[in-house]
Amino acid sequence: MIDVSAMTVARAAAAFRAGRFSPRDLAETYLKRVRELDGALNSYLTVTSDAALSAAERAAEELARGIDRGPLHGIPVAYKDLFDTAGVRTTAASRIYAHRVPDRDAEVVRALSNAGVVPMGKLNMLEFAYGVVHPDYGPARNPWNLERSSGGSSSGSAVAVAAGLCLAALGSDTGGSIRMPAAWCGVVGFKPTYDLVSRAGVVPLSWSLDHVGPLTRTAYDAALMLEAMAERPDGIRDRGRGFQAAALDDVDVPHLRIGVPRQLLDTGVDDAVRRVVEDALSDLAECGMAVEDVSLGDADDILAAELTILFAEASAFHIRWLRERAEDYAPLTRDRLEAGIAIPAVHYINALRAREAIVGAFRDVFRNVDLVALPSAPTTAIRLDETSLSINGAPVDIFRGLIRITGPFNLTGTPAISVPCGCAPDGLPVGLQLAGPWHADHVVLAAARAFEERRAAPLRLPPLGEHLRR
Amino acid sequence: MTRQALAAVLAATGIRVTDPDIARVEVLVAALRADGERLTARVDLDAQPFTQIGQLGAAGSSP
Repeated sequence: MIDVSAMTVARAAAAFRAGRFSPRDLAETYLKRVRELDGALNSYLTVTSDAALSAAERAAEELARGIDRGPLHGIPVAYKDLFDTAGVRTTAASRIYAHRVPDRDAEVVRALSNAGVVPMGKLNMLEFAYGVVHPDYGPARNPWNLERSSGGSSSGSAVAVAAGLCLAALGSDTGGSIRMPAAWCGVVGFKPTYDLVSRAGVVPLSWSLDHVGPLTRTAYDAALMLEAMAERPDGIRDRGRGFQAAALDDVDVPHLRIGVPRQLLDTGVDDAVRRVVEDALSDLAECGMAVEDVSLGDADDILAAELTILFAEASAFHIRWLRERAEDYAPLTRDRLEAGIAIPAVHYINALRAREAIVGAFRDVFRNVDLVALPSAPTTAIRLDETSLSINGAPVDIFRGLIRITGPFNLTGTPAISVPCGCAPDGLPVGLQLAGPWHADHVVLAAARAFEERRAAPLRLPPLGEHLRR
Repeated sequence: MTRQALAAVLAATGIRVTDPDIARVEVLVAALRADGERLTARVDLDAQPFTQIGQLGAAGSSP
């Protein structure tokens, strides 16, 4: 078996081409880890072992014949269980979709297949990406502490990458659902510019806020994933823009200007997390970047617009099942969906108008700074039995507390990453969030990569053996 | 779903549930299944304006 403790997409790709091991060797290693460890973690809902081994064998043969599909060729990748996969159950971790088997792949799945990835399976998540664990599926456990939450809604994606059960995963992010679990599990999570990656064949939560993105172990791996994901089989290719990982090398990182929204950082963030992020900001400054305070506008207005749009659009998608199968939802999912029905059309329209004003304010901010920096979550991972966040000793509603610092970048469609930046005194990971203007995905990723290089923290896997022996 | 639960979920959207006489919204949601207009007819919601709307007049769209 291969030692995957420091494995990355880039390292595996180099190893294949140097003949150190084959895609099949790597797939077998990850499948063995899934068999041994995932009983405790619950990150996979479906493991597609046969498809993985078959794709790995095909990748090995193609590479041997000189057919090279690029850096993802032969890389083990897994999908949040809301990406349609032809012939493979796609549940959205709901009872509503418990037996749903799509007959075609989501476009992004097809794009990754064309890039030669090895499909490991479908990953656990919060029900319909709406913030709640459905009891039929149970939680994906945080690999750094099995009694802690892995966040969500891309919970299984973050857990599987963090625990070394795949090399990269796909997630979706409507209010922070890639970045927050990435932060809590100590991996990289990237939400690209809105519509850079196709959402066709992805079960929606709120289509004007939904983004598709990768979870990986490094920022550069996220760039490699994004390059393949941004290939649009529909020919749209985000209005011709696409994405090239090589663009990271063109970014003049030491001269980037970083804005810190003090209103968001100084309120609603636990002191332990804030201190770790302040240290990270000092490191960005030592990389040569200029760090200054900025304002993104009224945080309550931004949150209200995000949640109004999210609730209303989610209920619009679910109205049929709310009428016919409401009892099949987890209770809090049902509450949120029913509340969304009650939002008046005028309030939804005004939230859309508010978004236009907020987008304008962000444009002004990004005229003066290149990136904005915040934590990716206001606390470290909470206990699985906790029903609220505790921020400096005060209880805060989980949904609102989390979305407050990640949601602004969904509302505006701007790219944002969570990159690990250390641990709080409780020993749990903290994520630094960096966000940039529209289509500056390469700048966000380059800054995150520079931060990783500055920290030079060795990649490591959680000590799961110790947990499992307890 | 209770009125209190509805109020709690909607609180951060700028909407207050103001009708003190409606004890259970669930009845109204059930009514919605038969008649889509009943819920908004019966639940008194006070939607607070967004302060930033004054900056423009056009309705928004996706970013």
